[in-house]
Amino acid sequence: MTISHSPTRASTLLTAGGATVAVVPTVFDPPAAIASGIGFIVLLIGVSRGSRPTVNAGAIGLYLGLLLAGMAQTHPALLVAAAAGTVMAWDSAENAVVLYDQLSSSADTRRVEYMHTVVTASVVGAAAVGGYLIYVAVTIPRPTVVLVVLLIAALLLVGALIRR
Amino acid sequence: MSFADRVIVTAGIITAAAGILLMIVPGIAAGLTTSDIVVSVLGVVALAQAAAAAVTHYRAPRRWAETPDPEQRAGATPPGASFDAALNRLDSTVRDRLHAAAVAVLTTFGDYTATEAQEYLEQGTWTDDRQAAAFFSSEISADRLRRPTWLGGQPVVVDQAHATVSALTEVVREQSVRTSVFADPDENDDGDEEWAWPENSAGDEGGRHSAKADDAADSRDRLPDPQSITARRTRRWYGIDALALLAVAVGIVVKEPPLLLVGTVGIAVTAYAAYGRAGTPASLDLDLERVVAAGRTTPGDEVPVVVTLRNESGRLLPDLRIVDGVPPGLIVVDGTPRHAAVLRPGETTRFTYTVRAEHGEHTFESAVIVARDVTGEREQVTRVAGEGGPITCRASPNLADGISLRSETTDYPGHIQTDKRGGGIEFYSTREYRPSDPFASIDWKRLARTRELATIEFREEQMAKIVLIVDARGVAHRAPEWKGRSAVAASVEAADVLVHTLLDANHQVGITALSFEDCWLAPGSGSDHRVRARQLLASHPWFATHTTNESVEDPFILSVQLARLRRRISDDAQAIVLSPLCDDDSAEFVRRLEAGGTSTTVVSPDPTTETTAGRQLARIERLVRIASLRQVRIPVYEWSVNEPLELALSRDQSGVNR
Repeated sequence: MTISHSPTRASTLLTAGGATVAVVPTVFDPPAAIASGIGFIVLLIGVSRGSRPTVNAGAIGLYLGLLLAGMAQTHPALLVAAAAGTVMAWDSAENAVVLYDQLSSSADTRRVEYMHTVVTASVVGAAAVGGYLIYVAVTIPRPTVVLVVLLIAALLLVGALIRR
Repeated sequence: MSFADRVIVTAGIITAAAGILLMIVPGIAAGLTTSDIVVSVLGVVALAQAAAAAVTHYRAPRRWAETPDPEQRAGATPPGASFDAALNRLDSTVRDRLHAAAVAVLTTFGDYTATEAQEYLEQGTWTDDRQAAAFFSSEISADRLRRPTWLGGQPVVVDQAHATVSALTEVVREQSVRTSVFADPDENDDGDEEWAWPENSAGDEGGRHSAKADDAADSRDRLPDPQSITARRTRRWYGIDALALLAVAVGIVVKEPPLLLVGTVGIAVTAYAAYGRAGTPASLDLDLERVVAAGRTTPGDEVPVVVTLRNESGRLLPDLRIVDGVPPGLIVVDGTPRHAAVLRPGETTRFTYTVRAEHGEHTFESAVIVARDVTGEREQVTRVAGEGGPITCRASPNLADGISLRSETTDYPGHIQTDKRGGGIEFYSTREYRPSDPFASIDWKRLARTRELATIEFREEQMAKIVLIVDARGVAHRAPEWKGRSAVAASVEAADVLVHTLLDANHQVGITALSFEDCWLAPGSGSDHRVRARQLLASHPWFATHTTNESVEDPFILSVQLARLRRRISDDAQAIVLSPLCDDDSAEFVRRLEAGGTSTTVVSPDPTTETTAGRQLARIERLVRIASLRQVRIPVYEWSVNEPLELALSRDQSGVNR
């Protein structure tokens, strides 16, 4: 028996699911579609080979597609869905790679993976929905100053979080 | 949290509250305006913060626990692996080794002298195979259609080397008297060979998965000490904050508000990760139990191990990763000792795997358990010893015939029938009575019948003194395949069986190991001695049936070993050497021991196969050694490592005409 340290089919499917959600909203803008398409493929290669750097590279690709789509005036709801999909895809891919490095593909890790994925999905989903609602509440015409104030608040808080 | 952090967080919360207030009560904000400059400045600030976060992330390596690979610790290397590696590299040692092997085969099996053999090799007349002939001979060119190398074909030299090895095998086959060697089916041959070229060219190492993540920024920490729990932050979410801020900055710069939304999602995830990091590591209390099938096991049996893990921590453990401590020396043949589970407080999880029993006593090592929180940010690694007995395995010593001992004996009564006439217990012949004969040997029946006095002569049965020499050096750890049973394990098992058989037959048995370190049990008999001998074989480190690191091999110096042994072995003792004969030193040792006056018998487990050119060559070399030993009248018994010992010894195959 050889010990294979590459993730199994289940984790590859989970990753592919998240990555699809990340890619679909970007198809309307060619540069974004190319970036996220490449990211999708690289991410799946990374998951099937169990290579963390490749997984990170794939996630960056999806993220760039996201940025480009944002610059091309994609609908906010689609954009936030793509953001959520990107985070989910990277999370399940990276978790799978480390999990299978520690345990090899012969161990049954589905329960652990599903638990992790469900919790992350809930958090990211709540953030996406909540963020979208706030966004709608703010931009339907409110002065920019509100936005600016909120931004300053966000920067301060994140600055604190980074330093920890 | 430091004071500065507190200030920043408070300011942030106040600002956020102000923003929300402005949002809800629109009237307040009506009079305020901001210029584009302010917004742009904010964008730059966000970008700067993104850069700072990226730099911090880059410098701090992400890390996660490394787990051991307990399934394959017992595996030994196949003989000939170094040749295959050298052939792959097109090393010049290939030619030298093949030349030496060819000369040895021709002189041992073909009755040629060394010079004749070299001539034949140069002329290419030693074989009908043109490819093989062309390897040693510059006169013959093997011109035949080959697949060019750029289309995936092998280089010419490699093809010729393969052909040479096959041709040599043919020569050995034709000349070999002991066809039983080739009659055994090779159960070890897999159609799809899972062995890959070893990465390390120095020696016969390889087999472990190597060259995994090349990421220099990632590092993996060593396992914790047996008694401690190591907690760490994996920092896997590092970098997400930089990306979130980058999205915000880009959104500000290109004036696309939806990107701010993307940034918000990222910020929320950062907060989630920070929550994970902030958690204090709680106590990890786990109960591990192993159940192994009880009862007597013999080598080769498959023993299932059922592992049960219970969560006694009082909290939910959402991500548990377990690697059980398979005893070193045992190979996992079914299932896996690795498991993952989600355990509520008090919940148990169970998993099973099967190991193949080997001779000796094998204790389980501690299981390694990695517990992560649900975000993946915090990881705790611990070792749990667990309950569950050792796996004990003994070969069943029920050989009827055993091995024919050489006629060397001591002066004590025992079971070897000598040609000495004298007081023994088995009838031999009668002769005329002489006045000095003892009354006990008078043939009373004859006297009663014929009224003639005659004396019965008994063949004196005498006890032999035997020293078992087990070859336990690193080079003897050879197995038919990477995960297979090693020749040393087979030798130790055979030694155990021999101890029993010989002691039962009232001989004196001693044990020593052919290795750098000193290990010696002087020949003796009796039940105490039997127990000591078995203990020695089961637990002395030099008889370990696994090897952990072959490259740390202490040098084996033949003359030193021989001298040491000769000092200890008495003149009337004989030796049985248990060795796979996979290197020239072992054969030389046997030859010199015999030449020095100690009658030597060889019992040799065979770890060779024919699946690759290197392994074929190793097999040929071993057969040459065996043949050369038999030619000087040293009996050699051999059997395949995977074959039960009883079967092998029931075939009379000492190969020496007595």
